Amino acid sequence: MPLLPFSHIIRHPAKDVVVLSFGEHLQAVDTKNGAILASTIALEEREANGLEAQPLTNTPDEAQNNKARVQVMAFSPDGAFLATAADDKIMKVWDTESWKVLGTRTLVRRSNALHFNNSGSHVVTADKFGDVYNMIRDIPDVVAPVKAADATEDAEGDEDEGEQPILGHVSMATDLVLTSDNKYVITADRDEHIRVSQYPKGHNIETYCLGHTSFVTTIRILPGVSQKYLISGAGDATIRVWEFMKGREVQTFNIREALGMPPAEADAEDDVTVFSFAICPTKSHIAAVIEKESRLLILQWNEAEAKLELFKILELEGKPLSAEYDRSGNLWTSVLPSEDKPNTNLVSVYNNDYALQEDLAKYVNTFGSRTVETLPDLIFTEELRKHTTDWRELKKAREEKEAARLAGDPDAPLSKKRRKNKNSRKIPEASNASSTADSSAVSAEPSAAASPDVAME
Amino acid sequence: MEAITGEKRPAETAVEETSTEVRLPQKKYFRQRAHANVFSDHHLDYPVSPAHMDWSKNFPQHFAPKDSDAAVEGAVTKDSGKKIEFADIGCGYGGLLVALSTVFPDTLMLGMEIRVKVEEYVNQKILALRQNHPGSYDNVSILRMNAMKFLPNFFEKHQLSKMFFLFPDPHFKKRKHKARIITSTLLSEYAYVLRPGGIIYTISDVKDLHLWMVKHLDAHPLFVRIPDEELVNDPAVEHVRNATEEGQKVERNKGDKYLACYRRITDED
Repeated sequence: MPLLPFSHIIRHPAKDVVVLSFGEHLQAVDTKNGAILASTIALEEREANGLEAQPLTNTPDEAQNNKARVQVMAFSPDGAFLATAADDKIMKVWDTESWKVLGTRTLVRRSNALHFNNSGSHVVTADKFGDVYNMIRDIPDVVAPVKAADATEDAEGDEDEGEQPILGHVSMATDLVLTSDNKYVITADRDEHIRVSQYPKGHNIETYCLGHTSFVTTIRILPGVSQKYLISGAGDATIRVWEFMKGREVQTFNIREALGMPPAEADAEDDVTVFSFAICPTKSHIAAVIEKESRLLILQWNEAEAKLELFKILELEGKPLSAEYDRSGNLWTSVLPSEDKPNTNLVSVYNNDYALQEDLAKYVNTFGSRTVETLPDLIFTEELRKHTTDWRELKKAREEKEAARLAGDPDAPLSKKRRKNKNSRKIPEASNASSTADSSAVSAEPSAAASPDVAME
Repeated sequence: MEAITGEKRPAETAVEETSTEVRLPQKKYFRQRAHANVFSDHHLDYPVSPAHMDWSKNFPQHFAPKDSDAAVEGAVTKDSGKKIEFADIGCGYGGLLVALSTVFPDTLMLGMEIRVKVEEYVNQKILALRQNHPGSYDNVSILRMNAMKFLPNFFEKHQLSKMFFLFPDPHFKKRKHKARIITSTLLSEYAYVLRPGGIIYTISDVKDLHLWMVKHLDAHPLFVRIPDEELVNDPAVEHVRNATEEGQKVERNKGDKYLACYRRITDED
């Protein structure tokens, strides 16, 4: 049985600590000696471990019942708080001294990005439906949620109830950052947009950074004195640098070229996709995690010339999920376990010269994770891709399959039950929505089963 | 002028114009259900940014083709320097555009419509009008577009002076309200493409929707309602009420029309 890999790694801004998330769990690791400081799983082996590991204290019943996967994490600038949000839309704020949950709240939609403001008083979240909320951090344990978890269908979508977003995209929001002076909030979406708005008065849109030709996955402010450059990654095999207040693209970094890959085929629906960036706190290095690519791009950012250059290609032991520099500039990486190499270390740490530092990841690799029956799908980009196959073709293919089935082909799949009553509001499952939509509607193309549109229906 | 009042009922449009004129398209061949899912991935062509847009196909008398190989017949070779200033969002069968074209002959205006057949109809109609009235209607055009998603791909910051939202889809169900064309968050995008002082025109025969639009526009910090007495002097308002097919239908059915117009201001105002 495979070990559940670590989806996200994030550095504590003021201490030698990284927090790793896997599934619904978190654990804090000392980056000086690799000791597991705290974990939401009971560390049965912690005596064998020989370290002073304490379990993170969850509120009762959570550890058992809450199986939702942690999607996003953010530290407050002073490191006193950690905010996490999982795919059950529950956001938690943790005290990073005691590792206790200070408060939980149900978000309106699943969060795709979290960011504290400089004072740590607010957490800004960008969600699956493109809305951005500026939420007060101090959430009591029992709080009137933005939307009750068991809200009726009618209450859902009533935007007058509860907290109002400070801005919104009619698209899935994929990432969010605040500028270092907290005057602006920058948001990215699935429809190739990067938007710069005032913070917290998000109704004042300053500009857009337009240039990507596929969904934008991740944005970060580039390090340096000017704080005026933004780096963005997308599904179009490029990394771009922007002078964001001017909406001006200053560089397009071609990933295929850097990795010596041939150009994408003209009709390919997928291209090389950037997962995330890790920004080094000690030198102007940025690690770019590329989906399904075991080579990590280490980029050197030259602020004076506003230029991003390839510094090194780092070969990992598997396909990466996350990377993060710790406070000393060591690079922590996590990979998917590979089938042909079952003993792959889930976490590898590289020192300042990008040489493997085996001792630091020893404990987390030995005691840090748990085995699972089967690995969940940890590649988040599927729901961002647009399915450009024409709906008529999809319908035709479905009809052909159906005809083949009726003709007695035992291998032909059963067609999904169509809604009998067109006006029925009940849709049995999300994946059915697209097939019903295009059979009943001439004008609306079906959307991908995983796209936000279907959930909207 | 017959072109302006050319929005006839389908039965009447079957016989059109004199033999020397190009026949206008007939609406009955371009029917499409009134709703589209604005959240789905339609097959839309949109530029990466406004700078990437080649407008020569839409306004051949005002924009030179970006790529000379793909030149449009009869297109100018040098841009007139004009930019689109009016946008009719969800323009339907294009009645407002056709009417305003001669009222504001020096202003470029664009209709955006998500339904493909309706877009085809308006496009053919504009081409026919241009042929029948040389020198006129060069300032109007239509694009098939999802304006809720891609306005900033077409228009620069503060480019527009007027935006029209006439008889929009009411999306009656509460859970569909997010699909309405006027929402708090979308208004911020409209404020981005609209210059300070620019005007949003809304009209509906559905009182609930009208109240919804008024509530959201009133609440938005960048819009302020224009008093009715000021609107009397606005030459666009009459056409907002009467030029669209929807507006005429409401008229025939003796329904109510609720108008609300707002000026785009800044936070400092």
